[in-house]
Amino acid sequence: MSILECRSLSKNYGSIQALKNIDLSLDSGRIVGLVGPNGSGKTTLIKLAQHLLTPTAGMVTIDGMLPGPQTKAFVSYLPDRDFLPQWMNLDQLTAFYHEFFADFNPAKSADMLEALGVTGTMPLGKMSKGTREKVQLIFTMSREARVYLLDEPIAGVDPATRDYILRTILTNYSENALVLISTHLITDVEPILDEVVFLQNGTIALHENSDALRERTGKSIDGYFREVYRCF
Amino acid sequence: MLLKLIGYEMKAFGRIMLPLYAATLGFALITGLSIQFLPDDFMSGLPGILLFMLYGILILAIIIMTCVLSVTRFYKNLLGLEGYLMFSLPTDTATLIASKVLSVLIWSMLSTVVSFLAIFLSALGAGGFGMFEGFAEIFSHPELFERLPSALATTILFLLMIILGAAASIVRIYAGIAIGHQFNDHRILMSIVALIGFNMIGTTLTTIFSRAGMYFGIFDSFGQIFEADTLRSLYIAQGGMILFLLAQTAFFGVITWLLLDRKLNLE
Repeated sequence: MSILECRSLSKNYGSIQALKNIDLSLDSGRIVGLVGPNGSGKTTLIKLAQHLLTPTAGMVTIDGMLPGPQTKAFVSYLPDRDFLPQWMNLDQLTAFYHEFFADFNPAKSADMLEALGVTGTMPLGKMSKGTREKVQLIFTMSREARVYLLDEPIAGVDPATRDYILRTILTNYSENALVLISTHLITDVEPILDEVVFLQNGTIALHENSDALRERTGKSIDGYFREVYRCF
Repeated sequence: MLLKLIGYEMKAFGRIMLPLYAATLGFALITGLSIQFLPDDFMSGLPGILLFMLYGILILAIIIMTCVLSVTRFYKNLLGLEGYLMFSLPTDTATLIASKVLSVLIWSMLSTVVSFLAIFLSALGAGGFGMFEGFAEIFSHPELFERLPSALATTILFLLMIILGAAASIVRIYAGIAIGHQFNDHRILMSIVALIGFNMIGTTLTTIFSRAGMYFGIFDSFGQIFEADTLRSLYIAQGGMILFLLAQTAFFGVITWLLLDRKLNLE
């Protein structure tokens, strides 16, 4: 069943068209890769789905609703930057998420923090950049959400952590949830993707099932995109 | 959700303001006790001067930190990187703005109370409980209590004016910041330009309305009411001011809401 839909969705920044008349329908229970070169509109699309931006034309709906307080209650969003209050430590952050997000599971975050060796009472601002990124992803994935919007979740972490994170995404989302991962590191996320949406210059160049794409082209998703678009 | 957000602001402000309050109150008491128990020539020398200076600086720090946090909590928490988290909470933009304004009002009141309490504590330390002796005098003049209801009413209206005046000023600053944030560069500068613009428009409108008031003789009729019934005219003036401040708060609140809800431009 479709949980995220874009209908004739456009977004302009002044004279620049970031998204051009996009139609897209994504189902629950899928892990979808939103890929494309820098400036192709990936972050803009995610921000529109989270009501951090308003469309210039068209609309995006989540479970049939326009993005707002109701949808934010079941959408877990990971931006591509340090978005958590830097003065908070892990306990304060846990209390914050527990207070504001009804679907937050503190046991899940505690397990993941322990598995990745993130402990202590240090505020986030004093942690290394890589550790902060782990914390952000852990708290995002510790919500039992129906939609996960992950904007570049693995860009700044080491390969071992990257593997853990991808395993975490694979094992921690519920079967009825949609996981939308924006990335330009296709090779790393390819093994977990059910579908791939390729954005180029603000339009959808391709939306296809991962296996079908590999079978049709005889190449990996990464290899196919490198060959066809020559932009990675 | 509003109460939860205010609770969160209490923690964010509190980690800076509460130690400052504790230091100021402790220091006020030490200053007062020093005046009482240390020799006069010691207190009029360098140690005494330093003690008073530090005491003054702490009270000043409370005022400055309250103002600084009022602006930075809005700017950084909603329009900075933390905005990605705050605007992802399951609540609407109006509630986020309201939580900021109400929190600032609460902390402004707390800062005012603590500042007065510091002065009171230092006076108590210096003079002991002897300073309360004068208060007993009031109770020997029962005629003063006859005016209590009207005095209470004007005091409440006056306090309401102060609170709404503070709210209007805060929301006006937030509207200025929200306008400045529409630009991709020089956001702080553009916020200041917006605030200057608000002031200029405000001054122009005040001039127009006061001229119109004189032209249509509104001030004359108010003057007649004032002469006939001073208390009534005071109520009218206070009521008018409260309505004006409410309108101002609503106006700047709507500007802030529109820009944050429809034209959010996070870093």
